[in-house]
This record gives sequence, C-alpha cells and structure tokens, in this order.
Amino acid sequence: MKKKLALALLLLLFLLLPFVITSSYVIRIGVISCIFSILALSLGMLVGQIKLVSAGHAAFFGIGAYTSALLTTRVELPFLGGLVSAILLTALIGFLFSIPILKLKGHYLSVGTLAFGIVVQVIMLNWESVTNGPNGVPGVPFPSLFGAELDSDVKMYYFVLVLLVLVLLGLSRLYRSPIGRAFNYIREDEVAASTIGIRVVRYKVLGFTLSAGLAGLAGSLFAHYMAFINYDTFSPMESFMVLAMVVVGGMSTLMGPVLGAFILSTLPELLRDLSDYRMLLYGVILVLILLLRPQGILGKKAS
Amino acid sequence: MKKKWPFASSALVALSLLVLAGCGSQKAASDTGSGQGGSSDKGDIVIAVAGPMSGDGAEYGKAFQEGAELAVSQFNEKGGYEGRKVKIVLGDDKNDPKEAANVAQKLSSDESVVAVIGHWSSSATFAGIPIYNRSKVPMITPTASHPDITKKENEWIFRSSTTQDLEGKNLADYAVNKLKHKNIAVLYVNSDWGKSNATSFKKYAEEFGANVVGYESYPPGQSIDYTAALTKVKGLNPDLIYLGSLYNEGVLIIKQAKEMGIQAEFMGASPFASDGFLQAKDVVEGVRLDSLFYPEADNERVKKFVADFKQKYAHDGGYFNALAYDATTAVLEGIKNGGPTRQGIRDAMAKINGLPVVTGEIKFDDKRDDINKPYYNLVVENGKFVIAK
Repeated sequence: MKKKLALALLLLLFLLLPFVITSSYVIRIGVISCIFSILALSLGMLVGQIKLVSAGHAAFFGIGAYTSALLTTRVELPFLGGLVSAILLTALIGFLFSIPILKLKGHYLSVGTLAFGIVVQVIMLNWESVTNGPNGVPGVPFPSLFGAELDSDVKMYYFVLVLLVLVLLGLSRLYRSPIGRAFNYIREDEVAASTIGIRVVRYKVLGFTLSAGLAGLAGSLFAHYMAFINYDTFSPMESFMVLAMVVVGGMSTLMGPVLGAFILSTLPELLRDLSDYRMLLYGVILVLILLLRPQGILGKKAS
Repeated sequence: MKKKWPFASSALVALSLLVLAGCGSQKAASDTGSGQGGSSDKGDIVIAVAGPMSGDGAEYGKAFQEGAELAVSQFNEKGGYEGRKVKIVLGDDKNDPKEAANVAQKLSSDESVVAVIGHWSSSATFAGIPIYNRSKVPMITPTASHPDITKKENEWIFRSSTTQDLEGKNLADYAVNKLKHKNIAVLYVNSDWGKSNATSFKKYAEEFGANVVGYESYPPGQSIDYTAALTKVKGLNPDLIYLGSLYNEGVLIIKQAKEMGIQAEFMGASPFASDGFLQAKDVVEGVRLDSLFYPEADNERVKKFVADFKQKYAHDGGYFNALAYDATTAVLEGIKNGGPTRQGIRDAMAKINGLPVVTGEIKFDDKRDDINKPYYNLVVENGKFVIAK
C-alpha cells in the first residue's frame, strides 16, 4: 500500500514538474530520461526477467528510430503510423533474430548480440539508398496526435511521461501474469523450468520480440523528439549505456531500469560544466554505485 | 518494512537530481539577469562557442575556442559594446548529435546567451538547428559544409564558411583543368563530411572530363590500417588519388600508400591545411590541397591575423582557427549594429554584405549562407604550404 502511495506521489511530482521549472533545458532532460526509461525497461525485460544479457540493444532502438524517421519523412506517413510501424518492424526483426541467437547461452549470447549491434550500425552507415548513409535523416517532424502537433518540450514531456506510465502498467501486469512467472522460472533455472513443462525457447523468443518492439517504440519517440538522427547514436557504446542503466537501477525490479535511466541521463548534464573531468566523474560515480549496491539501487539482495 | 525504502529513496534521488538540474540552469540564467531574450543593461554580453571540446574531435573544438577568443579579446580591447565586454561560454557537443541537441537546448534556455558560434560537424549542426530555430537564437556555423544546413525558412541559422559543392568544384578544377590529371581514384572517410566532399568532387571531376577510376570509402573512427582500400586503388593505376579525409587519417593513408609503392599524386581538401599535417614532413611533401585560409597570403588582414594569433597563443593559427575567428567577427558585427539581443544580432547579421574578414568578405545570401570566399590552391613544398603555380 505504501509502495503504491509512494509511486503515486512520485508520478504527481513528475506531472507538476513543468509548472515548477520553466527551463526547457530541464524539461528536455526529463523527456530524454523518459524515452531512455522505456528503452531501459525493454532491456530490463531480457536481462532482469529472463537473464538474457543482450549487449546490442541500441540496434533495436536504432531500427525503431530509422523506421519511424524514414516513413514520416519520405513516405509522409503520419506520426502514429510511423510509431506503430516502428514497433511492429522492430518486433519482427527481434523475433527473426532471436531464433538463431537463442541457440547460444550465457556469454556467447552476449557476444552474438554485440555483433548484431555492430552489424546494424554498419548497415545504417552504408545502406545509403535507404538510410541516407552518414548524413542521417534530418527534418524528422514533431509528433502530432489527431491533428495537434507536440511542438514544445512541455507537450512532448507529458506525452512521453504518459507513455512511460502505460508501459510500466503493462509490464507490471505482464510480470505478474503466467508469462512473467515463466520468465522468472527460466531465469532461476532453465533445466528445472523445462522439466515442469515450460517451453523455454518459446518464452525466450516471446521475451525477445516484446523487448525489441518496446525498444522500437523508444526509438521512434527519440527520432521525432530529436528531429535528426544518424548512425552515431546507435553505437555499441549506447548499448552498454542502456545495460548500465538496467544494472545501476536494479535489474530484477520493475522500477530499477527507470531509475537507472533517469540517473544516467541526468548525471552527464549535471556534470556538464566540469567539461574535462565530466566523463571521469561519471565513471567514478558509476563504479561507486555498483560497489555500494552490486545488485543495483533498487535491487533486492541476492537470495 | 524493508521493501518500502528502495522506492522512497529512489523517489528522493530522482527528485533531488531534477531539482539540482533545475537550480543549476536557473542559476545560469540569472547570472547576468535576464531581459527580453538578451542580457541586462550592464554586465558582460555572453556568446557561446559550441563544438567538440572533448572526445575525438577535441582539437577542432579547441581551434574554435582559440579563434573565437581572439576575435572577442580584440573587440573588448577596442571598448566592447558601449563599454560592455563580450564573454564566451563553451558548449561541448563531443561531436555527437545527441549531445549537440542537449547543448543547444542548454544554451538556448540560458537567457543570457545572445548568439552561438558552432557546431563543428554537419551532423551536430543538424541536431542543433531545430532547437536554435525554435528558441530564436542566432547560430552561425564556421565549418559545417553540408548543402542543406542553411534553408530559407531556418531564419536563425547562418553559415560563414563554404559548402561542399563549392569546394568540390574548386578541387576538381584544380585537379583536372590545372594539373591535367585524367585518371583519378577517390578515397574518402564514410562520415557526413567525407561523403558529401567526395560526391561533389567526383561530380565535377567527371564534368571536367576526367575518369574517376576508383571510388572507395573507409569507415570513420580510429582505424589505422588502410592497406585494403589502397591495394584496390593501386591496381587501378590512377595518376591522382583524391582523399576526402581529415588530416590525421590523410597522413596515415599517404604514408601507407608510399610504402606500398603507389606513385600517384595526392590531393586533399581544406582539413589538410593544418600544422599537424605538415608535421608529417617528408610523407606529405608534394601533396596538393585547397584552403580558404593561407597564412602567407599577400593580404593585410591575413597578415594581421597570423601575427595576432601567434602572439596570443604562441603557435600558428590554422584553417579552423581562421574560420571560427571570422564567424565570431560576424556575430560581433551583429552586436555592434543590432545591439546585444538575440533578435537584434540576427537582424543585423542578416544585413551583412561585404564585411572584410580573414578568409575574404562575408556576404550572406537569402539563405544566410556565405558563398563567395576565394580558395587558395596549395601544395606542400619543403615542409610548407605554398600557392600552386
């Protein structure tokens, strides 16, 4: 009960934020944090719930961003069309990719996903007729919902905040459903899970597909908010960044990835004025968090 | 009991971070007092220099900073604007579009910043443009050369450099019409800059009647081995190899090509016009390039800039220093004629027509693009850049 109350209060605070702070810079960090929360949640489903450590998640983020950006700029689809296509296409690619990759286990799987991330980035860079190569896609339109354009940071902030809450509600339902329980059985012991009749591969494929689709959603939001994307953003570095968000926040909890995303999106901005030492401090803080709470900030002690 | 704390603490952490961020930016905004999109009547006038101050392109960010600071210090010595001094704040975009957008928003949200000089690469500039335009902050890029950077409807965006199209045309003319090369191989870095650079060179070289026998790219980043691409090029037997590369890659490519026994002449673009390139001594002997800035040019403004720069920084000013100096000069001219407000600077800058600067004269067309700077065709001789005969 208290937990629910705390969450409701937190949500209220975030809803009131634009009334308290008028700086569009702070609101922007809020928007970016929400988008990355959705991305981190999608990876949290794999890493935290099923124990599939993917090190190429920026690939799905990028596929979603490119799909949405290209469809809205070249085919002139409306924003919602781009968003839905991004989710579906990314989920499809996640599904197709998961079938061969899930034959691998543990570290091998991580290396496989890392390779996938690199391959996707190289395709973004080199498939010029489609992705416009290194020049990226400029002029991605702002999201518009039923004729109303979300042309300010505040409008965008509410939009992504609502989406984040919806994603959280959906995931919390999912994790408590039979599917979520099956995920957790697989996480704890794959062999035991299959002996009690859980079809391990099937659930892993499902998890991968859902996770990819969710990353595609985040990618689409990112593209429309930034108005410009290029291959730079969807690098292996970004994949590790998202992984760090999940780990720092606490991978096996629902809210962990969200907290991680907020911390890791806000921290570099707070340190911005320290230019040369910025990334150094950032690294030190990360190491400290993981030393003090190896299970992540919200993580439960390992049983 | 135990379970509640994580959430309470997470709420606290997230909130305190946001509040901190809020205070930070609020404080920045109130540093000089805020007026209508400009600073108060006293105190310094703040302009921003945005570019890669850390990371891979840090030397270019530093070049921006030096060029801009020189222009500003001269402006301040002459009395500034009605006795008020101009101050520079830096925005580090790490040459990453995502960072660039955050920097752009940060600078735009800071009411005291009246103009932005930056960014360095076209992709970082593309990321910043929508934000500057929405926030009505005049931005001038000294170096971003993609043709689509300036658009008629982007009223707040200026460029005081050149475009790939112009440079490609000049280099092709240099290679084909002046040096009479017939078979040319093009090798370029697959980045936003490298690609448009090579595309435009190839287009004009073919127009002038040369054969582009090879057209190869290599991936951007810290690669050090170009032999694969060079082996391909060697088999084509070109008499000129054109490099759409930054200077550090260029030096490595030329060195490896010479080690492989490639006899062709080499040509590069303006990024080669830097001190770092000449430090490769014998390797770069005879390499051809072009530049908007030539330190030995027989021109009073260039001579003055070279001397002033050397005096202030104890090393020679290069191409990017000069471009940043010129872009800053345009902004300062905007302050002088339009007053230290965003709107005033923008309107005054748009009227600039024939402002003498180091790299020629700034004339903005209807897209606020500056498209009439003369190129110097150069060649490295005895470890120095000299004008090609």
